[in-house]
Amino acid sequence: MIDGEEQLIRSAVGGDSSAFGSLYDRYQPAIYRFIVVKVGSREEAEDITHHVFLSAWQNVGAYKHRGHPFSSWLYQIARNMVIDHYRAKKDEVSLDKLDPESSIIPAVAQSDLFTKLRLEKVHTAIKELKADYQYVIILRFIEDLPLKDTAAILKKSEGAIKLAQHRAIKELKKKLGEEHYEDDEII
Amino acid sequence: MKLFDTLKQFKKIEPDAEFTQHSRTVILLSPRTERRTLRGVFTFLRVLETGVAVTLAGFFIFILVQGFSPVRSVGPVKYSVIDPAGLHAEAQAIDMQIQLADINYPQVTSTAGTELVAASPAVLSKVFAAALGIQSTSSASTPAATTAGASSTASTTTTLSVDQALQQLSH
Repeated sequence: MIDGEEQLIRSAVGGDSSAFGSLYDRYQPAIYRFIVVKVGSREEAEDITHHVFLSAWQNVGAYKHRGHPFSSWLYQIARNMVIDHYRAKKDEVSLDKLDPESSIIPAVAQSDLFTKLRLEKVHTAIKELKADYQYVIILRFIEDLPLKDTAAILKKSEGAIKLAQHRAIKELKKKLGEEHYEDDEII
Repeated sequence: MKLFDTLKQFKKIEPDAEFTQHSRTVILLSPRTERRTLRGVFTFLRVLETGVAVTLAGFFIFILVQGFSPVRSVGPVKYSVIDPAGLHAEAQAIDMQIQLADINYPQVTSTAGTELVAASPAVLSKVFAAALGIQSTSSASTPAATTAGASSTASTTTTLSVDQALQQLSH
């Protein structure tokens, strides 16, 4: 746990909005990333992120520390909201898919075209993976969360996460046509 | 570019600053009181539920421990009628005397001597019922009483207690 976080959480649980504001500042970018990579639309990600923190603020009074970081609790809320989001828009045709301006990549790469194309390609491949593999890749390889925290967020054992990440990377490479490359060789 | 390096590039994604500021303000200004109220209602309902469960459990335990005595207390007379021992005890408890002189015998049932005809259980039951109906020194008629020898309307002045009457009837 980050220094002073325990006190911030205690204050937020007690209803201190400024303490919760500090927690928001600390974790909102990561939660937003988690969502935007998953849903692939900035507008939808903003809506979901807003609802995640609104829900967290309204329920933080019931938060109990169970040995996992506070962020795990936020990731769990985010994951549930994403699931609800997909359930709600099951039959809808998203215009975002037709709108190239809605892509998350411009926000990532302002640099060269090659990097941009590479990111687009990887992101498209990630979105084609199974939902669990997507979460594992985001949490383990984008957010660099430890195995233990990832397991807590996804409510699986650490062994299951290890297996899932291995399969997820293998599947991702396959989709990118890079399965014959070792990790160090992938260009 | 290596795959893992590419994945690390995604960490550069940042939410829009304007959105962040607006969302933060809206969230922190939103009230939490409604949630507390609901939590209070749920807590109350949980306490109520527990109370009802404990009360019901206590009631059933009481019934089991008491051996369904409430049922007995509701209808003691009904059950004592079919219980000869209970009937006997009850009859003993009542301070009464039957004066055979007051009993009207509707008909002669036998002409043999003065002994009582051995009564069947059904007849005895009627006698008991009649005795209970008479109460103390009652003069109500007992149509089921069967005596032999004595003329049907004859009356005696002998006074018998219930025990004595039962004893005689049993001979």
